[in-house]
Amino acid sequence: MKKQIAALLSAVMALSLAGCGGNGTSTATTAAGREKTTEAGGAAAGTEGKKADSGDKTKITFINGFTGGDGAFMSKIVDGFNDSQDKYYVEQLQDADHYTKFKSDNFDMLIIHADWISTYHAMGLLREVSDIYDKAGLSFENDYHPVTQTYAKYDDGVFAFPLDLYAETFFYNKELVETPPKNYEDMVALRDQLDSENTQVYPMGLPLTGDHQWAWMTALGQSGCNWVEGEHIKMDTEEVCDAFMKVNALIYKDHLSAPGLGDQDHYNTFVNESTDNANVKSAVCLTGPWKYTTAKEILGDNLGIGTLPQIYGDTPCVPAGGHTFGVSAAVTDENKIDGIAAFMKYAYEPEVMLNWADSGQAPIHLATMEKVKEDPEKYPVANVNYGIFDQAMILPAIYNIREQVKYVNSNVWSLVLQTPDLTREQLMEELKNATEIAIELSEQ
Amino acid sequence: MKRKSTGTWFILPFIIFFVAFWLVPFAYGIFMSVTKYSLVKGNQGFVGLDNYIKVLFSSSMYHKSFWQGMKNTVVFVLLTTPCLVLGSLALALLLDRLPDRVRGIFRTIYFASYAVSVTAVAAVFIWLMKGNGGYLNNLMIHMGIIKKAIPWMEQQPFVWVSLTIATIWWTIGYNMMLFVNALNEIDTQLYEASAIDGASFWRQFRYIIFPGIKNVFFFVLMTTIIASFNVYGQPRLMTQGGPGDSTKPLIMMITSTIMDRNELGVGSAMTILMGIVIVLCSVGQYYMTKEKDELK
Repeated sequence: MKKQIAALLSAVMALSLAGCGGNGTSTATTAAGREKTTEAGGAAAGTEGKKADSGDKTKITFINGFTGGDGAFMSKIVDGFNDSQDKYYVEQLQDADHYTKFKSDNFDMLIIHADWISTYHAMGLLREVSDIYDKAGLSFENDYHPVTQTYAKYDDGVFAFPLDLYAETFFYNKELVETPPKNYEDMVALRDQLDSENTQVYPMGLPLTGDHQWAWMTALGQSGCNWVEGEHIKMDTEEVCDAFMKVNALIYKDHLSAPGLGDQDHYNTFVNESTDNANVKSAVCLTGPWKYTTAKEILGDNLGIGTLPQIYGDTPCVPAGGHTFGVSAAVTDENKIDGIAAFMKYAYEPEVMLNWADSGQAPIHLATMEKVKEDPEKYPVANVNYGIFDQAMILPAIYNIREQVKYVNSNVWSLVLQTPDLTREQLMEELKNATEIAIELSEQ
Repeated sequence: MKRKSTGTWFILPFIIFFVAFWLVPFAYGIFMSVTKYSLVKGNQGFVGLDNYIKVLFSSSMYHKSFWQGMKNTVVFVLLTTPCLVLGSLALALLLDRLPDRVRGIFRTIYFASYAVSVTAVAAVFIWLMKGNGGYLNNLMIHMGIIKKAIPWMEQQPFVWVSLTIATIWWTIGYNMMLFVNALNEIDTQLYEASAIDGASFWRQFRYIIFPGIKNVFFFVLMTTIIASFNVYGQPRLMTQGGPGDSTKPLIMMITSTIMDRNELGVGSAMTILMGIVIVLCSVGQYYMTKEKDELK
């Protein structure tokens, strides 16, 4: 009897372990599963030093995910606003898991990526902010680059204050590349010049993960593919299949990239300083502008920045993303709305917004852009980005888009990258799976 | 009477915490699994067993995710459990035979890895086993063992090998300590007597050691299986579940269902199903061992 009770208790305990595991923060007690991981939690920081000053001011809570180097620059803007105010106080929380916290807690404002707005808008989590624009003396149509209209404006109004845009940036190593390649033929010529197969120095690198979404978006965009149908992505078409087959051929037929590259290897191989041929190197790198600082530190004057080559086709297309300020749909208090308007008015003064350019980002506020353009030496990456804003392609503004592209990011991309003799039938099967999942997600 | 009430006061804190942090969440999890529950919109009504049917039998993406995650988890359990149980037992036996002077040193060395966080373990193994530029590949290439880098972290089946090695390195010390303690409980006179009778090591193991540590052995086996079922950190940090979905364990699928797709109801149903599988494994194993006892 005792043994049976013990078995029952251990069974209940096991069930509880599994039950806790679902949220990813469980702490199992033994062996393989006892992850004490706080990875998902990430870093959290707030404007604690200023909290004591809030007094009777109207408090506006603001959450963002700037836990990296750019966090300090956003804090500078927030602190500057708080110092300038005697009516309002913005309480900021910087947290890597800020989207989940925004969904489950009551924050008034958040930083939301451009490609998340459509989903949050559809879920009714964002407030229409035209009235706040008016109160702040800002104009969505006239004060920001026109590309913002593709992701912040919907049939029922404007739902975000655009902050910046970051586009896929073309870096090259001047030591290995005399003239930056402009198309596929130039890349093939570069391969021959580098003698890639013998030297292990390839024109470029295609990674399994790390900017890989941009990598396939480049292929589809430059090939002129239409991969959206209604409210879902549509991947199971001949033109999309062709574009992915081009990527496969780039690796296994034309050897423009080494096969088997892993996480972030498009960048790792680019800044690789080893002199033997045990490791792969690459001459150019298509990545985010945030890599500029570290690349510059390693490559110094050999680092070049140029226009994205037309590798896969003639259609100009530069994958991009962006940050925006969003306001919670739960905000109805007029005092808070006035406070948010005051914050926006302050933040979008060009002298203030330049703080954001100092972080290495490219503000998308037109008056600030003019200031940044005046000093290309100080803001080299932002200035390169400004040159390609007109060709920027952000993920389509449809519901659940980030979830819809996940299967392409993982399964389709790994198939394309890791299958030397990939057939169209194999690829099409996965593209159909991706489309089916996208349809289901769009209907949720 | 007074004694009884004093005892109740002592047990009350446990009862309160047990109810608040175990029983209520557990019951609430079951409740959510039979509702359409969104992380954003909250409870949208009772749906009966729809979530379970969706996960187990439909053509929905959740069905595919669940079974892919379950398959990956079972592969991980099958790869790691034998190594973690038998390997830790072998280490414990090895330690048991070392001179007293060095035994403590090696016990500490083997156990030290257990004190490291999964984040650090993942970082170390990524550095060691990365395909391009990883320490292991560079070493083997320079020694002439291989000509081209092996994609330890990028392609199957190598990725499973990397995850298994990292997990064993990280957690084997804990099981080993349990076996060391169990071995210490065996009366040394039994070894001496069997040695006089000329018993070999394997006979000693069969007739003295294993019967002496049997209960601990099955405890280690069960807890290792349960813990392996709950694997999350290593694939999350080392491979991000890739390539494709090939190393995404069930918990990662559940997390994605709840946090990314906001489907708390479906995610809860997956969790309950996973719990049932673990319970079945544990109970099955219990009855298997009981049967052996009765046969003897």
